[in-house]
Amino acid sequence: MIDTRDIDWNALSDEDFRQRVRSFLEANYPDEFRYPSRRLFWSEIGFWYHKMSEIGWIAPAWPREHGGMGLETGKLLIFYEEHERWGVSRFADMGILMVGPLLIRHGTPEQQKKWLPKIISCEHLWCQGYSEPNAGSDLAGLRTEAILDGDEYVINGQKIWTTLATDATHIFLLARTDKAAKKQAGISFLLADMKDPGIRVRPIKDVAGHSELCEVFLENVRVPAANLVGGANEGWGIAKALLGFERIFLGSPKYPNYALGVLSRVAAARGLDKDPAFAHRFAKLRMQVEDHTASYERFIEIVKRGDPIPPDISMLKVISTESFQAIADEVIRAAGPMAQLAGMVKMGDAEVDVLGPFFRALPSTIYGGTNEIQRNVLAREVLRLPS
Amino acid sequence: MRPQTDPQRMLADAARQFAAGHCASTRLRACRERTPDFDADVWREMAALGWLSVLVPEADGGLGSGLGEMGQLVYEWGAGGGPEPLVATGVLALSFLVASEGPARAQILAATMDGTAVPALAWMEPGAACTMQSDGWRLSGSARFVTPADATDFLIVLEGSGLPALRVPAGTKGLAVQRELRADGTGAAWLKLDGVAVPESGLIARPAKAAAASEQARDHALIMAAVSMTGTMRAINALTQEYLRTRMQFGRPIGSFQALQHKAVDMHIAEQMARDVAQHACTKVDAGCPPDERACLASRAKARAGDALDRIARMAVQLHGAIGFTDEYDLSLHLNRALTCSAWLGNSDEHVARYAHHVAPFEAADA
Repeated sequence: MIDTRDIDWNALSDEDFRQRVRSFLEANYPDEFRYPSRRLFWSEIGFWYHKMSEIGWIAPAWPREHGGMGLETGKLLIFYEEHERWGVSRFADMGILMVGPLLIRHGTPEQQKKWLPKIISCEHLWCQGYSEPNAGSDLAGLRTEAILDGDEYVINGQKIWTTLATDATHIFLLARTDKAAKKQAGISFLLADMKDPGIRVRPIKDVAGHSELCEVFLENVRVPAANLVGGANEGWGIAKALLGFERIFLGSPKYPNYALGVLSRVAAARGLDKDPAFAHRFAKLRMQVEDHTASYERFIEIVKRGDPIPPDISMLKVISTESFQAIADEVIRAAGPMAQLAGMVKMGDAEVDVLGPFFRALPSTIYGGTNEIQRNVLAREVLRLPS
Repeated sequence: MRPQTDPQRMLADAARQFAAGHCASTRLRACRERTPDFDADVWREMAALGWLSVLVPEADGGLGSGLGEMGQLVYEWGAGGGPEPLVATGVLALSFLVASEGPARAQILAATMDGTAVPALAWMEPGAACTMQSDGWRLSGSARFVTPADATDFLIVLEGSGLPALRVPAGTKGLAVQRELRADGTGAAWLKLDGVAVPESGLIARPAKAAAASEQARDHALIMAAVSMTGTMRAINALTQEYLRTRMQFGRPIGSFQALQHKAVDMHIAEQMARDVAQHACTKVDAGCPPDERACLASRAKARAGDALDRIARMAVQLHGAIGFTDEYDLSLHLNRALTCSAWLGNSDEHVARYAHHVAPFEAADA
């Protein structure tokens, strides 16, 4: 494997850069992990991140001085586009996605030196402790509290829907540090080691039978005060500012497109490609995905220009997830009796995970801000309707 | 439409101003169920402003611009809701003339640009006959849903290859025009031709060219119809959102109720997406693309606009409540326009089928 850390990616032409990313992925990413129908565990996909780390591609958005590729926005979009095109599972590590950008922007030099290299080397894997049993859509209502005791914070509370907490070595979390302050004003950002004896993780088995989501219980967890990121009680603003342009990917046509691919294979295996009623429904869904892509590209242009992301971006998540569900439902309809079978289903010469798109699509209207919350945001910030 | 260039921005501003001055609902209401169904004065003003020259090449005395520019005018005019046939004549008939090459082309094209001729494109229904005689052609058959109904000239296109396109002025012997009333109060002409004689000088497009020219004109008109419909969507959404902000019930503005907010948001999303798709079609077609791809883009734009406008118009009535069901309230103008525009040139089901006919076989992303 070649180390590419000396290459100035931004100096390459877009086409050249795209070609390099594409050929690397096509040559190296294993077929069996393309378009995974669920989140992959570290034991399954860890080797890939190690490989990315070795060649210096693990943190495309980070600045070079911190071990990233330092890609400017246009190149970054190409990097992600090529990953989507090849169905590569996107970096699930919250260290790369969230903790790094958080520390680079708000961390002290000591914090950066302590944590960033280990994220780059994949030695540390991070999970995100935001949601709580009583703080879902109303995240600012969170009740996990952190009390300063000497030079340590003592954390008590519970987090839930924490993705892949079983794989994580560390957790970054929002905790209440001032109970007297107004909801959003008393929250701080803290880092904790999952090996702390006060942390207990319980996987939650989901409707598809997978266990990617977890509960994380925190009981008298002691973390050094040096693990506070940003100022005390400034966590909420920091968390909001961390929602970078990457949230555009929640509205990408990637998953609807993948589901359309499954649908076409199921249809071919079931002989539906000759059924005019199905052909009409398929054409309509295909148009839906193309039309969605036209809207998506408008926002991509905004990102490329470096303009601020308008609140209208929420519409993309609504379109993307609801299209995904509609196509996944059509897969089930097209599969007929095959849809009662779990896992990979033999259909003629092919093997298809018939229920895969359905189970992948089902929670998409819930995570990342439910579609109802997205509609609330649009009603308030774009339509300016009264509250 | 979202202007992409400075010239487009200037066109959009000018068009918005013109529409604001000429689309008072009193005028729109006065035009309904009237013959003619639009104001000749307004049409001449539009011609004088150059609106009917935008799509005409510079060699023919036009501005040589594309759908991106024309779309700015069509969008604002669609939002205003004026009955003047900007898409039917200014795009469908005009694009057809632009793409034609027969001896009748130059004169009718010039007269259309200056507003003295108002042509309508008429696709003949199956079973029409066109025979060649020593002194020209004889046309028989019928064409329905031809707009504008009050056209000065009909540009007759026969489906199928090997047939020419011919100009038949209104009032020609053997041509009967039956007027049918459309939902929005404009008319559609049902042409019945019985041995209409067309001289050599009435030839607009020779057989080799006629079909391709009319398909190009159809696609341009579909895209511009979609753009016009997104203008109507803007008008309906603006009216509805204003109503939600001001209408009080239970001591609160009804727009504070989440059930209504989410409906209004869905209407907004439908409008934005329809606009993105229509805009995308303009950009791609202006950049040049093969006929099959152009047909797909046009059918996508029209199907999307049809579905979105149908949904928006119906939901707007629901959000208004009983007042939305009255003729007196201006939503009625937009609703009836929505019904008319969605069905004109093919509804969304027809365009899903047309798309399926023209699109390349599907290739799964993970094949």
